[in-house]
Amino acid sequence: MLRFLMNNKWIILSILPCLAFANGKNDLSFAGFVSQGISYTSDNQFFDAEDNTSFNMTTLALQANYLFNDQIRLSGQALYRNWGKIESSRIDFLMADYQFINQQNYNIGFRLGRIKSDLGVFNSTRDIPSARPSIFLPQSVYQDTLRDTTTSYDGLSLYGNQVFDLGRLNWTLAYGRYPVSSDLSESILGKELGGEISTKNNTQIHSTWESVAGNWSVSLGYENPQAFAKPLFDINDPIAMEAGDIKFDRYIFSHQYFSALWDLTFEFIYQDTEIKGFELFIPYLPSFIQQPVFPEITTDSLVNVGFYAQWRYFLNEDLTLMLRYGKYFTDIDDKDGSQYQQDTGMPDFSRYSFDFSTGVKWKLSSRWQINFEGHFFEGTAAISPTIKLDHSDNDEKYWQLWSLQVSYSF
Amino acid sequence: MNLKHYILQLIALLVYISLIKQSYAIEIIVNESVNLSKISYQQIKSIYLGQQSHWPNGHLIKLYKLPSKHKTHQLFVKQTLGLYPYQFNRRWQKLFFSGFAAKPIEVFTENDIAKAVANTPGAIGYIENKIIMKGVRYVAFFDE
Repeated sequence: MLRFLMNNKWIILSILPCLAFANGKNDLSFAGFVSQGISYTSDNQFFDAEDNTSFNMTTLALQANYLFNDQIRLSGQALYRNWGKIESSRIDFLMADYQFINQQNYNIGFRLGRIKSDLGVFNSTRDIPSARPSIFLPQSVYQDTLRDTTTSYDGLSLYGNQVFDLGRLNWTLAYGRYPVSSDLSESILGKELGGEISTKNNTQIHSTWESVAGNWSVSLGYENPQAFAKPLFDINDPIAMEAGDIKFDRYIFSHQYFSALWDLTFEFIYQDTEIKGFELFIPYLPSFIQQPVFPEITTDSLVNVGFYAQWRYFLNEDLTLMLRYGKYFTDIDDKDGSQYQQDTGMPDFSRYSFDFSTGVKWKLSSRWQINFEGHFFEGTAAISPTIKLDHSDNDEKYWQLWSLQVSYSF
Repeated sequence: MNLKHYILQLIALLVYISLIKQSYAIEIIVNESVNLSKISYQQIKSIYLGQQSHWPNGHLIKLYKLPSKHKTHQLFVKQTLGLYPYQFNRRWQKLFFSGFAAKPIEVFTENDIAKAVANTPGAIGYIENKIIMKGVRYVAFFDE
């Protein structure tokens, strides 16, 4: 408990000045949630490195909304996450919003600060129990290993919406930099390498078209996040890696259909990954001795492709069933990973991942919610770092993930 | 036989039309400071889906709503916005927890919503049973 308080001291401290400003007016409002879960992983290290069963599944969020004046709205959210291997506290978003054109058929505004990325249907609410379809999002499109390059960016965005006879269009143009944590270096380099990582500015374009009746929508988004990584090494390490660059060209297509008793979501990601640098070498070899030839990691174009279809059925207002099937390929030109296995000696199943998931969401009241779900995986691509030398932690081709979570929102 | 069939169909159609007419009982109300006498269904949708935050004159829109399980709220979402209640709830969860819009202010009864709209400049709300109250302006829908 003490550790919990210490870890969250800055969240708790940040509430105090906010309370001081609240003069009982409607201009300031608070909200948030707490959730605790338990997960069981049959094999591999997707969630917790030490144990198959883990209680390291706590999320706490506090948000504030403040009307600075009639025009400008400020909002922010602090998020604490103890999620398996990762424990982090961060400002999830903190921004000013100003909608400066308001007409009958169109509106335009801009946002400035740390802004949630709205690419794909579930990205902006991936940590929010009440607003996501399952505890673990479909890994074929929302990979937790890359969450730092998709969560929220420091920058600005211009957004708008327009009503036409046949439907309505929402659009966003954004420019900013994704702040990174040590999670990302582990995700890209693997924990046996570790190192420093930084990101560069990113451009994002996103638009959604919604039918006039509101029963279906399609959206398309693009962004190009870039990371620079410098692996750390010790002179006595048997093998080490030079610094390098990773660049993603990421496209996400989404489609949703809504009916009275069920809804359907389909999403597709196409990610062109360019990897430069990261040459392997032996640190203790003197410079006059020739380094051995290592397999090349550098690639101009590695095309990652993933998709899933998800069906949700509403048994009643409070009880929802979910079925989902998704696939992910690290290299679309080597779908079964056989070429990769031949070139590197690493397992072929580390280059793809198929995932069947089923779950139930029960809203006990407007504040309490319970989620329970199971995931059946074939392959480990969704949980493997982009550049990885050692797959011994993730050596099971078939594995399962079960999870139960209770959430309270206020 | 055939004629009887057609007559029955015609009666069914007339009953259906009269039901539609009757069911459009939702009234949109705004604070008297809002200079608006007619509104389109699409614009109401833009406002209640958090896409339009200010009135055309630049003043802030203060959104009021009834609880999600209130009959009038469900009627408003289905008939005025043309959405299923779960779609409305989900959109607001997303907008709110991404910081993209401020939450509508929830009040418990139709009387409360009328009172709140009467006393709040820029406010908008909806009720099923017309209440005459000082400070409340009723807004008609454009025929679309």
